[in-house]
Amino acid sequence: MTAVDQNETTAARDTREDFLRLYTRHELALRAFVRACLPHAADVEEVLQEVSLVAWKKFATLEDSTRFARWAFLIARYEMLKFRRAKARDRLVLDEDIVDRLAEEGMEEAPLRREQLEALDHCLEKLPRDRRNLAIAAYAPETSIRGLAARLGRSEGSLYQLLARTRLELLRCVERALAREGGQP
Amino acid sequence: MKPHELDLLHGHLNGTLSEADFGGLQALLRASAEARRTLRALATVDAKLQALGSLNTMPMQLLGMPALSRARPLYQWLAWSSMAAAAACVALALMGTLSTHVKPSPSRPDLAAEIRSSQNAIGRLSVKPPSLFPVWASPTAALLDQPRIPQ
Repeated sequence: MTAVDQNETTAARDTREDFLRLYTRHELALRAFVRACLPHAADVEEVLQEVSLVAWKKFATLEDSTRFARWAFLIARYEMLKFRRAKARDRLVLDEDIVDRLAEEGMEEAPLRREQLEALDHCLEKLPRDRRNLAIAAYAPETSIRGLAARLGRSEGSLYQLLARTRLELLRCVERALAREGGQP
Repeated sequence: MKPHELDLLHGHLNGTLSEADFGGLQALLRASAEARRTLRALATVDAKLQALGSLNTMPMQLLGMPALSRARPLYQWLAWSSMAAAAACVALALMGTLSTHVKPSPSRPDLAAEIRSSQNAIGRLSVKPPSLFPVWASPTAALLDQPRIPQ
Protein backbone atom coordinates (compact mmCIF):
# COMPACT_ATOMS: atom_id res chain seq x y z
CA MET A 1 0.00 0.00 0.00
CA THR A 2 1.41 3.38 -1.00
CA ALA A 3 1.51 6.38 1.31
CA VAL A 4 -1.25 8.00 -0.77
CA ASP A 5 -3.47 4.91 -0.44
CA GLN A 6 -2.83 4.82 3.28
CA ASN A 7 -3.75 8.48 3.66
CA GLU A 8 -6.96 7.91 1.72
CA THR A 9 -7.86 4.90 3.88
CA THR A 10 -7.25 6.88 7.05
CA ALA A 11 -9.29 9.80 5.72
CA ALA A 12 -12.15 7.46 4.78
CA ARG A 13 -12.09 5.92 8.25
CA ASP A 14 -12.09 9.35 9.87
CA THR A 15 -15.01 10.43 7.69
CA ARG A 16 -16.94 7.31 8.64
CA GLU A 17 -16.24 7.87 12.33
CA ASP A 18 -17.22 11.54 12.09
CA PHE A 19 -20.47 10.59 10.42
CA LEU A 20 -21.28 7.89 12.95
CA ARG A 21 -20.51 10.18 15.86
CA LEU A 22 -22.74 12.96 14.52
CA TYR A 23 -25.54 10.68 13.38
CA THR A 24 -25.62 8.79 16.67
CA ARG A 25 -25.75 12.06 18.56
CA HIS A 26 -28.78 13.29 16.67
CA GLU A 27 -30.50 10.01 15.87
CA LEU A 28 -33.09 10.18 18.65
CA ALA A 29 -34.07 13.74 17.74
CA LEU A 30 -34.50 12.64 14.10
CA ARG A 31 -36.49 9.63 15.25
CA ALA A 32 -38.70 11.91 17.34
CA PHE A 33 -39.45 14.10 14.32
CA VAL A 34 -40.31 11.12 12.09
CA ARG A 35 -42.30 9.55 14.92
CA ALA A 36 -44.38 12.70 15.28
CA CYS A 37 -45.41 12.31 11.65
CA LEU A 38 -45.87 8.53 11.47
CA PRO A 39 -47.81 6.30 13.86
CA HIS A 40 -46.40 2.92 12.82
CA ALA A 41 -43.01 1.73 14.05
CA ALA A 42 -42.19 -0.10 10.81
CA ASP A 43 -42.79 3.09 8.78
CA VAL A 44 -40.59 5.07 11.17
CA GLU A 45 -37.79 2.52 10.71
CA GLU A 46 -38.19 2.60 6.92
CA VAL A 47 -37.91 6.40 6.75
CA LEU A 48 -35.01 6.53 9.22
CA GLN A 49 -33.11 3.93 7.23
CA GLU A 50 -33.44 6.08 4.12
CA VAL A 51 -32.42 9.17 6.10
CA SER A 52 -29.23 7.52 7.34
CA LEU A 53 -28.36 6.20 3.87
CA VAL A 54 -28.91 9.53 2.12
CA ALA A 55 -27.08 11.40 4.88
CA TRP A 56 -24.10 9.06 4.56
CA LYS A 57 -24.02 9.36 0.76
CA LYS A 58 -24.15 13.17 0.93
CA PHE A 59 -21.98 13.58 4.01
CA ALA A 60 -18.98 14.70 1.93
CA THR A 61 -20.99 17.71 0.75
CA LEU A 62 -21.54 18.96 4.31
CA GLU A 63 -18.91 21.64 4.80
CA ASP A 64 -19.63 22.61 8.40
CA SER A 65 -20.23 19.73 10.78
CA THR A 66 -21.78 22.05 13.38
CA ARG A 67 -24.70 22.32 10.94
CA PHE A 68 -25.19 18.55 10.91
CA ALA A 69 -28.45 18.55 12.94
CA ARG A 70 -30.18 21.06 10.67
CA TRP A 71 -28.83 19.37 7.55
CA ALA A 72 -29.98 15.92 8.73
CA PHE A 73 -33.39 17.35 9.60
CA LEU A 74 -33.73 18.68 6.05
CA ILE A 75 -32.96 15.20 4.73
CA ALA A 76 -35.47 13.69 7.18
CA ARG A 77 -38.13 16.15 6.08
CA TYR A 78 -37.47 15.35 2.41
CA GLU A 79 -37.56 11.59 3.05
CA MET A 80 -40.72 12.00 5.13
CA LEU A 81 -42.45 13.82 2.28
CA LYS A 82 -41.20 11.21 -0.20
CA PHE A 83 -42.66 8.47 1.98
CA ARG A 84 -45.88 10.44 2.31
CA ARG A 85 -46.28 10.74 -1.45
CA ALA A 86 -45.69 7.00 -1.89
CA LYS A 87 -47.97 5.81 0.92
CA ALA A 88 -50.62 8.49 1.41
CA ARG A 89 -53.12 6.58 -0.71
CA ASP A 90 -53.29 3.50 1.48
CA ARG A 91 -52.88 4.91 4.98
CA LEU A 92 -53.49 7.97 7.11
CA VAL A 93 -50.47 10.23 6.75
CA LEU A 94 -50.29 13.86 7.80
CA ASP A 95 -50.65 16.42 5.03
CA GLU A 96 -47.54 17.99 3.55
CA ASP A 97 -48.07 21.42 5.11
CA ILE A 98 -48.33 19.88 8.59
CA VAL A 99 -45.19 17.79 8.08
CA ASP A 100 -43.44 20.98 6.96
CA ARG A 101 -44.51 22.87 10.08
CA LEU A 102 -43.53 20.03 12.40
CA ALA A 103 -40.12 19.84 10.73
CA GLU A 104 -39.51 23.59 10.63
CA GLU A 105 -40.41 24.11 14.28
CA GLY A 106 -38.66 20.86 15.23
CA MET A 107 -35.38 22.15 13.79
CA GLU A 108 -35.67 25.26 15.96
CA GLU A 109 -36.22 23.04 18.99
CA ALA A 110 -33.11 20.89 18.47
CA PRO A 111 -31.37 22.10 21.69
CA LEU A 112 -34.59 21.62 23.68
CA ARG A 113 -34.92 18.09 22.24
CA ARG A 114 -31.45 17.18 23.50
CA GLU A 115 -32.36 18.48 26.98
CA GLN A 116 -35.63 16.57 26.92
CA LEU A 117 -33.86 13.36 25.98
CA GLU A 118 -31.31 13.78 28.77
CA ALA A 119 -34.04 14.46 31.35
CA LEU A 120 -35.96 11.48 30.01
CA ASP A 121 -33.24 9.08 31.15
CA HIS A 122 -33.79 10.16 34.77
CA CYS A 123 -37.56 10.14 34.41
CA LEU A 124 -37.51 6.59 33.07
CA GLU A 125 -35.54 5.52 36.12
CA LYS A 126 -38.17 7.06 38.36
CA LEU A 127 -41.02 5.25 36.65
CA PRO A 128 -42.24 2.12 38.52
CA ARG A 129 -40.36 -0.86 37.16
CA ASP A 130 -43.40 -2.79 35.90
CA ARG A 131 -44.71 0.26 34.02
CA ARG A 132 -41.30 0.90 32.47
CA ASN A 133 -40.89 -2.72 31.42
CA LEU A 134 -44.36 -2.81 29.94
CA ALA A 135 -43.76 0.36 27.94
CA ILE A 136 -40.45 -0.98 26.60
CA ALA A 137 -41.98 -4.39 25.86
CA ALA A 138 -44.76 -2.73 23.88
CA TYR A 139 -42.15 -1.25 21.52
CA ALA A 140 -40.06 -4.39 21.09
CA PRO A 141 -39.66 -5.60 17.50
CA GLU A 142 -42.42 -7.87 16.24
CA THR A 143 -44.56 -7.14 19.28
CA SER A 144 -48.15 -6.15 18.64
CA ILE A 145 -50.37 -4.50 21.22
CA ARG A 146 -53.03 -7.08 20.41
CA GLY A 147 -50.65 -9.97 21.12
CA LEU A 148 -49.28 -8.32 24.24
CA ALA A 149 -52.78 -7.60 25.55
CA ALA A 150 -53.79 -11.23 24.98
CA ARG A 151 -50.73 -12.51 26.84
CA LEU A 152 -51.35 -10.16 29.74
CA GLY A 153 -55.08 -10.90 29.85
CA ARG A 154 -55.97 -7.25 29.28
CA SER A 155 -57.95 -5.47 26.59
CA GLU A 156 -56.12 -3.66 23.79
CA GLY A 157 -57.86 -0.44 24.78
CA SER A 158 -56.65 -0.61 28.37
CA LEU A 159 -53.10 -1.22 27.18
CA TYR A 160 -53.22 1.76 24.81
CA GLN A 161 -54.55 3.89 27.67
CA LEU A 162 -51.76 2.73 29.93
CA LEU A 163 -49.19 3.59 27.26
CA ALA A 164 -50.72 7.03 26.79
CA ARG A 165 -50.67 7.63 30.55
CA THR A 166 -47.04 6.50 30.76
CA ARG A 167 -46.08 8.78 27.87
CA LEU A 168 -47.80 11.75 29.47
CA GLU A 169 -46.32 11.06 32.92
CA LEU A 170 -42.86 10.92 31.41
CA LEU A 171 -43.46 14.16 29.56
CA ARG A 172 -44.67 15.92 32.72
CA CYS A 173 -41.60 14.62 34.57
CA VAL A 174 -39.34 15.97 31.80
CA GLU A 175 -41.06 19.34 31.90
CA ARG A 176 -40.67 19.55 35.68
CA ALA A 177 -36.99 18.62 35.44
CA LEU A 178 -36.29 21.22 32.76
CA ALA A 179 -38.22 23.88 34.69
CA ARG A 180 -36.08 23.14 37.77
CA GLU A 181 -32.89 23.37 35.72
CA GLY A 182 -34.08 26.60 34.18
CA GLY A 183 -34.67 28.04 37.66
CA GLN A 184 -38.42 28.19 37.20
CA PRO A 185 -40.59 27.37 40.22
CA MET B 1 -54.55 21.45 26.02
CA LYS B 2 -58.01 19.94 26.35
CA PRO B 3 -58.30 16.24 27.21
CA HIS B 4 -59.90 15.30 23.88
CA GLU B 5 -57.10 17.10 22.03
CA LEU B 6 -54.54 15.12 24.00
CA ASP B 7 -56.49 11.97 23.17
CA LEU B 8 -56.13 12.80 19.47
CA LEU B 9 -52.34 13.12 19.85
CA HIS B 10 -52.10 9.82 21.73
CA GLY B 11 -54.42 8.16 19.22
CA HIS B 12 -52.15 9.34 16.41
CA LEU B 13 -49.04 7.97 18.13
CA ASN B 14 -50.85 4.71 18.88
CA GLY B 15 -52.05 4.42 15.28
CA THR B 16 -55.64 3.95 16.44
CA LEU B 17 -57.38 7.01 14.98
CA SER B 18 -60.38 6.59 12.72
CA GLU B 19 -60.46 8.54 9.48
CA ALA B 20 -62.82 11.10 11.06
CA ASP B 21 -60.58 11.54 14.11
CA PHE B 22 -57.56 11.84 11.85
CA GLY B 23 -59.27 14.77 10.13
CA GLY B 24 -59.77 16.34 13.56
CA LEU B 25 -56.11 15.80 14.39
CA GLN B 26 -54.98 17.51 11.16
CA ALA B 27 -57.24 20.47 11.87
CA LEU B 28 -55.87 20.70 15.41
CA LEU B 29 -52.24 20.54 14.24
CA ARG B 30 -52.86 23.23 11.62
CA ALA B 31 -54.48 25.57 14.11
CA SER B 32 -52.49 25.09 17.28
CA ALA B 33 -48.75 25.62 17.76
CA GLU B 34 -49.16 24.21 21.26
CA ALA B 35 -50.60 20.99 19.86
CA ARG B 36 -47.66 20.67 17.46
CA ARG B 37 -45.20 21.33 20.28
CA THR B 38 -46.90 18.77 22.52
CA LEU B 39 -46.94 16.22 19.70
CA ARG B 40 -43.20 16.68 19.15
CA ALA B 41 -42.56 16.33 22.89
CA LEU B 42 -44.72 13.21 23.19
CA ALA B 43 -43.07 11.79 20.08
CA THR B 44 -39.69 12.40 21.74
CA VAL B 45 -40.79 10.28 24.72
CA ASP B 46 -42.10 7.70 22.29
CA ALA B 47 -38.92 7.69 20.23
CA LYS B 48 -36.92 6.98 23.36
CA LEU B 49 -39.21 4.09 24.31
CA GLN B 50 -39.05 2.80 20.76
CA ALA B 51 -35.25 2.94 20.80
CA LEU B 52 -35.17 1.04 24.10
CA GLY B 53 -37.76 -1.42 22.82
CA SER B 54 -35.78 -2.12 19.65
CA LEU B 55 -32.87 -3.30 21.81
CA ASN B 56 -35.14 -5.76 23.55
CA THR B 57 -35.63 -9.00 21.66
CA MET B 58 -37.36 -10.84 24.52
CA PRO B 59 -40.20 -8.56 25.65
CA MET B 60 -42.09 -11.33 27.46
CA GLN B 61 -39.13 -12.13 29.69
CA LEU B 62 -39.06 -8.45 30.58
CA LEU B 63 -42.57 -8.93 31.94
CA GLY B 64 -41.64 -12.16 33.70
CA MET B 65 -43.46 -14.35 31.17
CA PRO B 66 -42.24 -17.18 28.92
CA ALA B 67 -41.02 -16.08 25.49
CA LEU B 68 -43.60 -15.76 22.75
CA SER B 69 -41.29 -17.46 20.29
CA ARG B 70 -41.37 -20.68 22.30
CA ALA B 71 -45.12 -20.87 22.19
CA ARG B 72 -46.24 -23.15 19.38
CA PRO B 73 -48.93 -21.92 17.05
CA LEU B 74 -52.38 -23.21 17.91
CA TYR B 75 -52.74 -25.13 14.64
CA GLN B 76 -49.54 -27.02 15.41
CA TRP B 77 -50.86 -28.10 18.81
CA LEU B 78 -54.16 -29.07 17.25
CA ALA B 79 -52.43 -31.14 14.56
CA TRP B 80 -50.29 -32.98 17.10
CA SER B 81 -53.12 -33.55 19.57
CA SER B 82 -55.46 -34.88 16.89
CA MET B 83 -52.71 -37.22 15.61
CA ALA B 84 -52.11 -38.45 19.15
CA ALA B 85 -55.82 -38.96 19.73
CA ALA B 86 -56.17 -40.87 16.45
CA ALA B 87 -53.20 -43.08 17.34
CA ALA B 88 -54.69 -43.81 20.76
CA CYS B 89 -58.03 -44.75 19.19
CA VAL B 90 -56.34 -47.14 16.73
CA ALA B 91 -54.37 -48.75 19.57
CA LEU B 92 -57.49 -49.19 21.71
CA ALA B 93 -59.44 -50.66 18.81
CA LEU B 94 -56.61 -53.13 18.09
CA MET B 95 -56.38 -54.14 21.74
CA GLY B 96 -60.12 -54.73 21.86
CA THR B 97 -60.06 -56.81 18.68
CA LEU B 98 -57.09 -58.88 19.83
CA SER B 99 -58.54 -59.51 23.29
CA THR B 100 -61.76 -60.89 21.81
CA HIS B 101 -60.24 -62.93 18.98
CA VAL B 102 -56.78 -63.99 20.04
CA LYS B 103 -56.52 -66.65 22.69
CA PRO B 104 -53.22 -67.36 24.50
CA SER B 105 -51.20 -69.84 22.53
CA PRO B 106 -51.13 -73.24 24.15
CA SER B 107 -47.66 -73.79 22.68
CA ARG B 108 -46.24 -71.08 25.02
CA PRO B 109 -47.09 -72.25 28.57
CA ASP B 110 -43.91 -70.68 29.92
CA LEU B 111 -44.90 -67.15 28.75
CA ALA B 112 -45.90 -65.93 32.25
CA ALA B 113 -42.65 -67.20 33.71
CA GLU B 114 -40.68 -65.48 30.94
CA ILE B 115 -42.44 -62.15 31.62
CA ARG B 116 -41.75 -62.46 35.34
CA SER B 117 -38.08 -63.17 34.62
CA SER B 118 -37.84 -60.11 32.32
CA GLN B 119 -39.45 -57.92 34.96
CA ASN B 120 -36.92 -59.11 37.53
CA ALA B 121 -34.05 -58.41 35.13
CA ILE B 122 -35.35 -54.89 34.47
CA GLY B 123 -35.80 -54.34 38.20
CA ARG B 124 -32.13 -55.12 38.77
CA LEU B 125 -31.04 -52.41 36.37
CA SER B 126 -29.98 -49.16 37.99
CA VAL B 127 -31.30 -46.43 35.74
CA LYS B 128 -29.57 -43.13 36.30
CA PRO B 129 -30.39 -39.91 34.51
CA PRO B 130 -28.02 -39.01 31.69
CA SER B 131 -25.47 -36.50 32.92
CA LEU B 132 -26.17 -34.06 30.06
CA PHE B 133 -29.87 -33.94 30.81
CA PRO B 134 -30.54 -30.47 32.23
CA VAL B 135 -32.19 -30.66 35.62
CA TRP B 136 -34.26 -27.53 34.94
CA ALA B 137 -35.84 -29.17 31.93
CA SER B 138 -37.63 -31.78 34.03
CA PRO B 139 -40.85 -31.09 35.91
CA THR B 140 -39.86 -33.92 38.24
CA ALA B 141 -36.32 -32.73 38.92
CA ALA B 142 -36.44 -34.00 42.49
CA LEU B 143 -36.87 -37.56 41.24
CA LEU B 144 -33.83 -37.48 38.99
CA ASP B 145 -31.44 -38.54 41.73
CA GLN B 146 -33.52 -41.63 42.39
CA PRO B 147 -33.43 -44.79 40.24
CA ARG B 148 -36.46 -44.76 37.96
CA ILE B 149 -37.24 -48.44 38.65
CA PRO B 150 -37.00 -49.70 42.22
CA GLN B 151 -34.62 -52.58 42.76
